[in-house]
Amino acid sequence: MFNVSFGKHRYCDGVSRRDALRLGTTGLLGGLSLPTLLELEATAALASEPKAKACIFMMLEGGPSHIDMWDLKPNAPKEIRGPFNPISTNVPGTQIGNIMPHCAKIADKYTIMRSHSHRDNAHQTGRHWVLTGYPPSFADGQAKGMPFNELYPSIGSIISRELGPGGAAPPYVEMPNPLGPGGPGFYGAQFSPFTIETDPVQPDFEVRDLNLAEGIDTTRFERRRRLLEGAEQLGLAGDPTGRAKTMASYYQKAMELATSPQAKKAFRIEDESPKTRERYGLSSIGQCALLARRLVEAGSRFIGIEHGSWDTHVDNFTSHEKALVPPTDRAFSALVSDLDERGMLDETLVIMMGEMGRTPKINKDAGRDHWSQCQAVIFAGGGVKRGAVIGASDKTASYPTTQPYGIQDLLRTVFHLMGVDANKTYHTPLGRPVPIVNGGEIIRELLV
Amino acid sequence: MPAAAQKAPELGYVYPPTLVPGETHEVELGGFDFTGDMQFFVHDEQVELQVKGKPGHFFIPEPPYWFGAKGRSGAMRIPREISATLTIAEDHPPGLVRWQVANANGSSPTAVFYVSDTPEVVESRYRNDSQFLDSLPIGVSGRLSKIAEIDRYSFEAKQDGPITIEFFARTLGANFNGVLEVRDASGTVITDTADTEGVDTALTFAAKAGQQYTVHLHDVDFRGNRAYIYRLAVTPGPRVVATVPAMGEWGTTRDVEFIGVGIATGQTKLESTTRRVTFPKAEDAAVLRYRLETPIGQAAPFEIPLGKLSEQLRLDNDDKPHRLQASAAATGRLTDRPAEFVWTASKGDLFQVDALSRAIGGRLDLSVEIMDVDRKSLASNDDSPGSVDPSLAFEAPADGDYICQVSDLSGSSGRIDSIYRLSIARPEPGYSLTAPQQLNINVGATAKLQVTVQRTGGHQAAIPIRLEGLPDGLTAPPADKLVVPEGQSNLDIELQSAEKCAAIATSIRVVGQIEGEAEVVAQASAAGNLCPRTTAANQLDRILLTTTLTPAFSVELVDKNRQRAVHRGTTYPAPFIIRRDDGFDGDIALQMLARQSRHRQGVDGPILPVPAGATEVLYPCYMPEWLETDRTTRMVVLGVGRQKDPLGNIREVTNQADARVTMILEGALLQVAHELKELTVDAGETFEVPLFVSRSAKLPVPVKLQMIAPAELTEFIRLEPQSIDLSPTETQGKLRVITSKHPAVVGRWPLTIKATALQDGRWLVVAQTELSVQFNNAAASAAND
Repeated sequence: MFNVSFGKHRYCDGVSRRDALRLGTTGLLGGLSLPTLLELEATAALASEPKAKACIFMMLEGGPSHIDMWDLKPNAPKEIRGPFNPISTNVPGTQIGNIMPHCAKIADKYTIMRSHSHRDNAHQTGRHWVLTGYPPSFADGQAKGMPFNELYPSIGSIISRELGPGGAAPPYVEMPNPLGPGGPGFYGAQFSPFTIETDPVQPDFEVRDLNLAEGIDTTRFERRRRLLEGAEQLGLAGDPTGRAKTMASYYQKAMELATSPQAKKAFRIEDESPKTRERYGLSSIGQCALLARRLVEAGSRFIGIEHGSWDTHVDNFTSHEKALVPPTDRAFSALVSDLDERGMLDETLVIMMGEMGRTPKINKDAGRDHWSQCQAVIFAGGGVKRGAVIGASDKTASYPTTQPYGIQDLLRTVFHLMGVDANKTYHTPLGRPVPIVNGGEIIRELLV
Repeated sequence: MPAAAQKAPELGYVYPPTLVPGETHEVELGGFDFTGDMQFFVHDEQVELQVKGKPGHFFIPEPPYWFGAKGRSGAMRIPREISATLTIAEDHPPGLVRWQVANANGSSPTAVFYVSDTPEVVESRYRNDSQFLDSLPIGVSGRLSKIAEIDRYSFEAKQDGPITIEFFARTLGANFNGVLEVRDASGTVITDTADTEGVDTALTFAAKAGQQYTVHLHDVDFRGNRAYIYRLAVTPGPRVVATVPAMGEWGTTRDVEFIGVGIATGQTKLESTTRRVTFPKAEDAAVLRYRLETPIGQAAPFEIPLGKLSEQLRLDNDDKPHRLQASAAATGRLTDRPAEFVWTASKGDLFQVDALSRAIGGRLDLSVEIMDVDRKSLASNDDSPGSVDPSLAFEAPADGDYICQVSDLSGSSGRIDSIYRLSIARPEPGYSLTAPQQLNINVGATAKLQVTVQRTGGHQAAIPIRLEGLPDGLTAPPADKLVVPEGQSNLDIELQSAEKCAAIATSIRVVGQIEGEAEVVAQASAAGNLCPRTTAANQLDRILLTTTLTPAFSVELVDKNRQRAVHRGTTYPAPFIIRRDDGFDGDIALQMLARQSRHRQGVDGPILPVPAGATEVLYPCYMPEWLETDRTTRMVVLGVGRQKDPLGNIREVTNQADARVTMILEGALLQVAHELKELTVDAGETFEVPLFVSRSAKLPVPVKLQMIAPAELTEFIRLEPQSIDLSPTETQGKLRVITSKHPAVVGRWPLTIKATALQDGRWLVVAQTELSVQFNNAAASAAND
């Protein structure tokens, strides 16, 4: 028999702090852990009317060169402007780099922000900033494990928690590799991403965990599930570390996927016609973008696409021109156009950015180094203006000359568009209040 | 000096790393950035080396590979090997032998192999079970050839009593830390040890007669590599770890206390026993290799260093300083407080103070401090160059007594084996010389050979120097310029290479000789033994002078270091431009550099001949299908050109490409799969393996299906037909596997199934999968019964 005796010092729900702490660590009372109790205190303000049902976040890891792609400075000195030329887009007056011919043709569908800025000039820490809105507690290069946002939840986990699933597909998916700081932080495993960890460009692309093991029919699977449930009840009671609960969350997610034909269908990229696959490009980022569209159709809320190797300290220009930009140009333009043609763009927010931009000044190795002071972020759909350019940078693309928009502004705007109350506060297991976004303003000029 | 991008060869290892005297051994000489024209030097007149052929292909590390964070650590170098024979003289004493190589790009540092005085065997490759050692004592030469490899050796104890197992890897130049576990027949671990200090390791355990034991051996981090060679010595008997006195005086006889595991009763605990020992004379030996006879058998050999000082004992370590009459030496046992010695000196007296633990086989990390009688610190030292044993030179500032305090920083004091040896010696006037072990000189250029003098006992005289063995084409300054001036401690000797000079390496000696005195040969710091007990143990009196050629070509990567998207399992043709100097039209080959920038995970490239006159080359970088997609993978290419030296000799000159090929990995274009999971087959049966192939739209080409059996089974398993060709539209095939009843066909084996295709008609694309087959074999069972 488990007794809770009530003492003098009680919370409004009648549980003393001492009892609450004990409950939080043992979790015996029907899952009423301390964070759950504290969560009751969370502000439950009404969120905005959502414009976007889903968000596809294309994370160009390493830092794409804003001055070579979206914010060219043809009149800057040679050591800054680089070899690329601006080309006109289908929006009069808007020019982008000539290495992005596909994006140039659909500029009327997206908005370029040229005044994104923050002060974290490193990869791991910068990505932590971008994906969580909070500074990391580790020095760059010192992050351990995966995901490496141990405390603060990522944007995907927040959206997953606030909006829940929109269909059979997992609410939060990252592909093909983990985003790094894409984890749930203190929210717990139930809000962690489903990472496919295989590349949809492969001819035998198949997502693990979506099929029952050979010899396990649905009856047997169901019997196992019930057995596991029983075992979990026992395990959760005796596990002070919370690991059993974490594993239970993973099992639950896996079961939901393995038993859902709709979820499995969403991942069957081979159902797309060769023409459609070719349109997105037979590249990793291209096929990830196509798979992301399918997942949005199946109810996913946040899909993070990890595309790496943009850290071009050496030979920035040929890397951008020949390896990095062409598949990205094709993938982004195909995704946005395809969403638009299917009538999905207005309800799907597409964002493409890196954790930083690159130095305007070209270094001795024909490379560009880290530069977070001025970056370009591309938005499409989901309540964002079409064909606009917001913000501007100086004559060398070094600093914004208009209102600089930071990470919190960006995240607050995303949550606003998706109907998530960015002021909502959750408490960490130690009782520390953590608002979904700590500061920032909605970027009004971005919105329709 | 050779150009920075020019790569001299590096060593390396000999496999097997342990050889016995009186025999000619077939060996493989392993090393890095080898060329086909190398000169080999064995710095031991009792060893004869015969090289048989050219370097073989690169040994790309076999799976498994590290992925994730560990996969981003520094790459292990990719070796190549040359077959050779080594003949060891009958009377060769046990110990390390140094060797090195050179070519027209420079010389390698030295490497070592070991000459043993016990029976030796070599690890048998291709085995899944432990290797049985028929008789003890025995040494085993082995290799942890791949990541996660655990080598196992079994033996039977003939009698109750201690068995000692010694492990040598770092001593042999293999840079890993061994872990040993001894298990009994039931698999229970009965003792273990790990080389956490990087000085190799040993253990002694109590065995029972008739029982079988198995030694499990691996790296502490489960690393593995072709160069991870080792020697394991299994000796029935106890193990000596220290002696008192710690050093022997040349030509004397005295009682020596031996301290070791099981040396008195055979139990696995530290014990001591005393024997009367006669130490050899100075001209006969620097160490006494002593095998202690005990009631429970002969102990593994223990080396007692020898010297000229009479050894005093100071084992009580009471609070009162122990008085010495310098020059003097004392062996003591360190308790939990420092030991102190006092001696009398006159103002200006010079003393050399040395405290030894590592040099006498101990594990203490000693520190010494000299104080006056008011305990004011006058000098101190923790580590001497190349050793954790302290050493300092001290000049008495005034007449009076001085205190030398010896303490331990390791926390290992207070044990029966916490033995140290302190010497406070009045150095006799004299000198020693040191020089670099390698010196490279470009043909037609000059280079400085820096000779350093260490003077002792107030030695000040000028020292005439001579170079012995200088080859034709190299000249040194005249004799009157080859003198270390009085009181000076350096001499830079400028060597001049003639314009018409062969590119050749020569072993020379640098000798100092003052008229009427004995000659002093310069010592050079050699490499190879990664855990020498003393600095002197890693010294060599030979210097390798190498005349080198400047590359007459360069290798330039098109688009330098740009990122290139490459599909897993495919071959990326990296474009290079070859630029040749005017007049050079020799053959060039492109190949992988031995030291790549990241763990290879199976990335491979050929030795690609570049036709004479060709300026544009595509170097195929094969990227296996399992490479990670969230990191870049690199290939560093080395050009090797065949150039004539001024005397017309063809030499192979290296020049690294000006940039590495950086590749971003994306999903594979080709995949092969089967649905058999695990298969059980009777040996002698024929079975079929249905296979399913999927291709990307980027790869609309025929695919060839093959099966690769483990090396142990290649003679007993075959395909009929040997391969299957699928047309561009076919996606399924069936391999027919025929097995024999040979006893080797038993147990569980992995069969590798490989699908290959050619992209653009020339670039290899590979996908593979594995089929696990359990072979039942009555013949094998009967043979085992």
